[in-house]
Order: sequence, then C-alpha cells, then structure tokens
Amino acid sequence: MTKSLFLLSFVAAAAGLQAQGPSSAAAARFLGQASWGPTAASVAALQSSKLDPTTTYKNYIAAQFAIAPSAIPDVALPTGSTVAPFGPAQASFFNNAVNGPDQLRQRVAFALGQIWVVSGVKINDANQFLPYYRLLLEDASGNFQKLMTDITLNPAMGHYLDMVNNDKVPLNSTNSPNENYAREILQLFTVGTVQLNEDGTEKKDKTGAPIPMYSQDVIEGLAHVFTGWTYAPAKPGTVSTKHNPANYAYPMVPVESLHDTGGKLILSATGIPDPTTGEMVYTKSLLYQGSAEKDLAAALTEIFNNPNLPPFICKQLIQHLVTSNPTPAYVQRVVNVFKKNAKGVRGDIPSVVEAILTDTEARAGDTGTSLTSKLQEPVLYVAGLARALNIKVTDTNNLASYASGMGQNLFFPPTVFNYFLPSYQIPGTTQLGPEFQIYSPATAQVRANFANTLFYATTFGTDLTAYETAAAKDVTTLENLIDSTLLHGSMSAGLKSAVETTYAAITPTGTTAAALATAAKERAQAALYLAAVSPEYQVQK
Amino acid sequence: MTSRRRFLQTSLAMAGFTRFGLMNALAASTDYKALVCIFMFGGNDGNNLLIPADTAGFDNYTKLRGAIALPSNQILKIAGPNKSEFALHPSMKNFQGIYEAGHAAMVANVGTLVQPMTQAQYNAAKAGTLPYNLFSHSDQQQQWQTSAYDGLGTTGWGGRAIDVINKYQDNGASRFPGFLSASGNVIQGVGVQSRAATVVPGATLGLSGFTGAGATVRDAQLQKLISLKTGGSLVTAAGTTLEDGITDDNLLSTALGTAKLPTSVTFPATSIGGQLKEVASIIQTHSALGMNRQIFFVSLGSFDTHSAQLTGQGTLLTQLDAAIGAFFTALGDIGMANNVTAFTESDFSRTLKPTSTLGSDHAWGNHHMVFGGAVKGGTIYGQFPELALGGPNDAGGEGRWIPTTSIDQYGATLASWFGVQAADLGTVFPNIKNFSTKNLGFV
Repeated sequence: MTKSLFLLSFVAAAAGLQAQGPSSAAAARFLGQASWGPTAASVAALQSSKLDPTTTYKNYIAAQFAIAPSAIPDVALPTGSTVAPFGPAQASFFNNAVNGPDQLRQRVAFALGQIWVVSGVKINDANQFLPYYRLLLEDASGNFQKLMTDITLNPAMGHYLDMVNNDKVPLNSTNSPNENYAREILQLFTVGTVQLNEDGTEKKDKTGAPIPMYSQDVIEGLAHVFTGWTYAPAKPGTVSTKHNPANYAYPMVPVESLHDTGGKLILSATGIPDPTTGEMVYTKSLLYQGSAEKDLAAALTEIFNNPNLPPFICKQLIQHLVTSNPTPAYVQRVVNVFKKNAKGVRGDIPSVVEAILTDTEARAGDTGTSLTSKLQEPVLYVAGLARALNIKVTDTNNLASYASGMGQNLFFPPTVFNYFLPSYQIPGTTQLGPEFQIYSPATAQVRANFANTLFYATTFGTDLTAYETAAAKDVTTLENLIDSTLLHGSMSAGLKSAVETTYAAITPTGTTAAALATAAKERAQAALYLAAVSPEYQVQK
Repeated sequence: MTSRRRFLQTSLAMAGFTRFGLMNALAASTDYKALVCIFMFGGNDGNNLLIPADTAGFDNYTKLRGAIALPSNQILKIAGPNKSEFALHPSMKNFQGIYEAGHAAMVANVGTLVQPMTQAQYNAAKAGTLPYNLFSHSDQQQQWQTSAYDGLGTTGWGGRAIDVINKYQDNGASRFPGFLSASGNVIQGVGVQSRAATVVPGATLGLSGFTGAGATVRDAQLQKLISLKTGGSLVTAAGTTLEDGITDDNLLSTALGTAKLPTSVTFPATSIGGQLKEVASIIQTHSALGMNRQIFFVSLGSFDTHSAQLTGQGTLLTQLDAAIGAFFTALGDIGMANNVTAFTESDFSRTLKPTSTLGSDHAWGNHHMVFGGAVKGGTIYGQFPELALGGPNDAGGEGRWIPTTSIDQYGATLASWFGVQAADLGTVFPNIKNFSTKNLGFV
C-alpha cells in the first residue's frame, strides 16, 4: 500500500467512525410525524446534521418548540357584516401548515385541539374562535396544567361548553348548575370514563368489567366548582357586572357572588380503596378555598395529578402523531416522561412529544420494519401533499374546502367528541383506526379526486417539471423520485408494478420533442396520482 | 300529581288520507320496504318534544321546567290514547299533520336497557345489568346503534338486520349494500357479514377521470392496487374502503341515471333536507339497484342543549320538521309512502330539571317519532313517565327517566315489519329475550 492510499483509507475510516445524520428516507419518515409532511428542504436540513439520528431529532424538536407560533390574524369583517367568516382563518391555518417554520408546534397544537375541542359549529365568529386556537399554539410548548387552566378560562370554551355565566343555585332550587363542562373536562380532556393502567390499558374489576373513573355525583359536584364565571369586562380594569356581555379577547373572570361556596365533591388525585370491592375510588370533598379562582385551581390540580391523566393523554398524542395502535410498553415509556421529565417536572409537553417521536417503536421503521401505522387525516393529507409537491400556498388558499369534502371541516368538528374517536375500531378488525371513522367509501373517493385535481388540473399550478424530467429518462428514475418525495423509500412492489404498467401503456404518439414531452408529462401525472391515492400513502407507516 | 299513565296500543282511524299523497302510494304494489333512521345527535330533549297537555299535567310541566317550559299558546295539541291530551313541540307542524292523518306515532320513554328495570332495581343495580356509561354521548350513541349495552358492540343492529335479509336472499343478486348512510360511517350499518354504503349528499359520485393517454390503464391499475390487501390491516382497510366506494358508486350512478324526483316537492336547503332528498332519490330507483329491502341512516346534530335550549332546539326541530314534511310528501309522490317507515334515535333525553343556563343536562329514556304509511299512527305507544323530580321514573332527582321501553323492543318492532322473522330477532337484538313484549305494534 502506498502512503497516499493509506492516508485516504485512514480518512475514510475516521469518517466512518464519526456519527452521521439520518438517511434521507429516515429523515423523511420522521418528518411525516414531526411536521405537516417532509419537503426536500426539510429533509436536507435534518440530513446536514453531523450528529447521530436520535440527537438530530432531539435538536430538531427543541428548536421547533423555540420558534414562536405562526400568526393566525383576526379576520376582517366583510362590508356590512358583524360576523367574521372562518374562510380566511382556515386559509391562514393552511398557509402556516404548508409554509410556517413552527411545524411541530402546529402539529402538536392541532392534536391538542382535537382533545380539547371547541367548534365553529357553535362559536360561529372566527374572531371569537381564534384566541382559543392561539392558546393551543402557545401552550403546546408549555405545561399541560397551564393548558388546562388557560383553556378552561378561555371564553370560546366557556361558551362552547356552557361554563360562562353558569351561576350557583340556592338550595332546593328549581334548576341546577350546568354539568356540561364538568362532564367533558373529565370524559374527554383529562382522564376518560374508565380507570387505566399506566400503560393505557383498562383496569378490570373481579368480573372483568371496566372500572368507572367517576360517578354522576362527581359531575354534579364539579358543576358547582365551575360556577361564578363570566366574560371579562369590555375594557380591562372596569368593574364586572354579574353577566358581562360576550368578550372573547380575554379570559373569563370570577363573580364571587355567583360562585357556590359550599363544599363540593370532586375528582381527586389520590384514590382510596373501596372497602368492599377493593377498587380505587377517586373522590374527595373540596372545602371552599376562599374564592372562585382558588376553587377552580384546586379542582384542576387534583385532576392534573390524577393517575389516569398521563396514560389517557399520552396514548392520544401518540395516536395523533405516530400510530393508531401503540403497544402498552410504548405508552408506558411516554407516560413515564409525562409523570416526570429529566428536570423532574410533571406534564411538560415538549418532553412528552420528544419521548413520543424518539421512542424506539416510533423510529423502528426508519431502518427496519415499521411497527407503526396510522391513516392520514384529511388536513394532514392535503397539507402534506401541498408541501411534498411544493405547491404555492398563500393566505388566500382554498385548501380547507378540500379537507372538508373529505370529512374534516377545519375548526368545525361536529361535536366536542372531535371528528373521530380515539377508540374507533376498524370494522371487521381488532385494530384501532381513529381517522377511519371519517374515511368512508364516499370520502375515500373524494381524496382520490383531490389527487386528480392536484396533478391533472391547473387549479393548484402544480409544477411537475422534475417528475417530467425523470419520466423522460426512464421509469425507474420516476419511481425513485416519487418514492423519496411521498413514501420515504418504502414504495411497495404492488405500487411499483402499477406505476410501471401505466408508464409502459402511455407511449409517445411520435418522435417529435413535443410528443415525447407530452408522454413524459402524462406518465408523471399518472404515476404521481397512483402514489398519492395508494393505500400505502394514505396510511403512514 | 297524576299516577303514571300506562298506554295501551290503540289504532286510530286513518283520517285525512289523501293529504300527503297516499292515494298514489296505495297504487304501488311492490314488495319493497325501507327503514329510515333519523339520528338526532347530541341528545334531543324529549321532555319538550312530547308534553302533557291536560291542565294538571301541563301546569306541573310548566312548574318543573321553569324558564325552559314551552308556552301553552305555542305547543301543538295532539290526542294520546284513551282521549288523553298531549302536545308536540311548536316546531313540529308537519309531523303533527302526519300524526293527525294517522301515519305517525310517538313512542314514549325508550332507551338503553339490558332488561326491564324498576327504580328499585336501578338503585340496587350491579355492573352488567345497567347500560355501560349512562349519560355519556359517545357510549349511548353507540349503544343505540349496536344494542349492545356492555359497550363492547362491534356491529350495528341495522347491519345485522341486513345480514338476516341477505340470508333470506331478499335483495336477490344485487351487489349494492342493503344499508346506506348519508351521514358518514356509522356503526349501526356494520353487519357481521354485510357492510354499509355511504353517500355524500349532492357530491359527484365516483372517481374523477381524465381523457388523456393512459386513462384506462391508470384506473385499472388503481383498481388492482387497492385490491391487493397487503401491507398490514390499516393499509388493507384503506384500500378496501376505496374499492367499496368505487363499486357502490358505479352501481348507484347507473341506477340513478338521469332520474329525478318529481318537482312537486322542494326539499329544504339544509343538511337534513339534503340527506332525506338523497334517500328519496335512491328509494325511487330501488328497482334499478335491484333492492327490495334497504335501511337508510341520516342525521342532524347539535341537540346537546345545555344552554339557550328554547332557541337551539327550536331551530333544529324546525329544520327537522321541514325535512320530514318534504320527505313524506315525496314518498307519496313516488308511490312509496306505505313502503317506507322512518324513525328517530338520539343519544338520550335531557334532564327535566333545567340548568342555570336555560338548558338541560344528559338524561336517559326518551320519546321518539315514527312515521310512514304503514305506521299505525295518531297515538302514543309505550308508557309516558310521571314528570316528577325524584318520582317513580327518575334515576335520581333531576328528571332522568329510567326507560320503560327498550331499544330492542322499539327496534324489533321495526325489524319485524321490515321482514326479519321471529326466529332471527335474537340475532339482530340479543337482549330481546329479556322482554316479554317483542312487538310494540306501532307498525
């Protein structure tokens, strides 16, 4: 061996020892979970890391949460109208999803908003709704307990679930405090209806039946806790009346005279075993804490510290970001971080998100067989294709109408139960598939027709130049390009066969440059259509 | 306070027969039958849908409902059985007309029940005898549709009824599903063997194509790709769903062709109006689809009126009533009134006791509407609860009625008319064995 060859091989060996960033396939797959879909630029940015993949991902997550939320500005009132329409707000959302730098923050906020649901179905003025959505974006990088307090006192939520102007009632009154918020904060936002193990599986009683988390008495008790709140005064600092006029810009304020000062039965952080059954009962009597605000804080603290909350929330966040069917062990590992992150803090959302996205189960598919899969929900499907295809999206886009046609009208979940339930089971299987609840035989075709518009119509001005160039070379080049753009290198033999057969059947009508270009375009369109409609793209693995 | 009323099944003379075009309907001699489920999502307040209208009963109602009581000069009076006096919500004018013509009935206090349940039994109830997660929207919606009250149901009673119908080969060789939802995926339409079709009212059916080179091969390759059933259960399910949609829409668009409903009826431009219009169109073309037995599912949401109930429920019921009126008239126009029975479902009723925000909270047993030319209408079936907080029907002190008629009895009555034979009722409604009355006789 000559000296120069020796040196070269030494350098190569040293480089081999040095940690590498993730492969482009691994980076693209990660970004399918940690952004609104990979782009050539976002994949390249992760790849340029000189650090090992896990560190690269952790750095990305930390950097993403440090970026301020993309703005969703108030909507200008149309001439002669007093109600702000949602269209411009939906367009801002999609503009941010496609172009905003705070990709992960937006994904997490969107997931949290599908747990802590407020809907335009009832809050029908966009400018009344948007402060709630901005809170989700801000609090996505904070603590879950702060989110609980902020959303509880948000006036859109107050109106949506009737906590605003929910007055105490005298003893033996002919009416009762409103139970709506009390019920749904437990059932949907924090702990769920049945007791869970830390790994997210249900606890069972001696007969094998699930164990209720709370009783109707607790709902009625909590309804009393949530009495005595009204809208903020029109001008900050002015004196509140008992029922202020609607004000969606500021958190609700207490009216002590309308708050119930008696003791109230609430959900407790700590359980006591039932003497006969041995099952845990999470109930305590909350004595009056001295003010409506202190009662609220005390009740929310108990809920926050209840052991059901981490598995109930963590499993859903995993479902929204990574997979519909996480193993109990995966849920348990994330729950451990929710309970206590590296700094000893409970409920730190960025730490939980990092645990979700860097877990071995989430990452197994980067280099080997994927253990995860979930159907893309319409908003993600639309935004992801727009990003992957580099579609020009501005703040006047119409993307929300396409997602709506697919069953997901942005900001308008039909009820507080969101567009789909986390427990939705795919008929005929034992698999959970929450997003399948809105994926019907009819809406499946709407998705395909969106892809048809994307590639065959001029609606979006989709630039297919790179794909046409690839198609002009040969089918393998075209296939590889689409594989890396949409499927992080995981294109199946079946899809390849479909692309190749279609490619072969589209033959140039002559040998002129124009005829060849036309064939290349039609081959690129058909191949992209097949990939974007394919079940393996609809379902992220 | 009057004692609990017990209603006997009665049939009233069918008056005003031609009012809704039933003469036309009678001319039809087809064997076709359809059930139409109208689901009121969110929990419709039955206490303001069906109201006692005798003086003492109405006074009691007014006192207990307080600020959400409907005024006496607005409610729509109807006759109950044995000359009893009742009233409907002021929005239900069309339904009132159908009721008075004898083609609509009310069924009182229906709900999720494993077995008959007295108040004493409720108070002593152990897990397993009570429906799972009472008062929870998602659980009670699911149980209304599955009739599995342990919360573990994975198929719906509509889908299971279609399984039975398919066993009888009542739909011959038609490849179109017997259950069709105009309201997205619903578990009610999931059978053990059968699956549901879906339509989005007003949307274009089928795949958009293009006319360039390779159109045929592209679509053929897509068909092949989605039929591969590889890549795990979620990928397979995504492909199968699209495959089903393409198949259904091809059949449906061929059958619908250019057929249009008679223009004598204008369906309201609401979601529920559009859904029922779609259903009427498909019923009209059932022969072309090769169908003799169909179950349809439509829905209307936002009935969760915890506050401002008088306005909120009023708006929704006005929409619903207008759509019902148009639908029933259209059925008469296409000669199908006697062949179609529509009925309502909802999560639950609401507390009789109002909330401090002028609404009501989640409750249990509810009053439901049934209409169609075959309905033995103009009366109220079941047992109307005693309106008393903490009274004999109350599961507590807020006016949550323990149902006195089960979903299985309500559904089995409909399914029996539809053609499910007695021997197969248990397949469709596993708990019907716990009830001695298996047919309420309203249709």
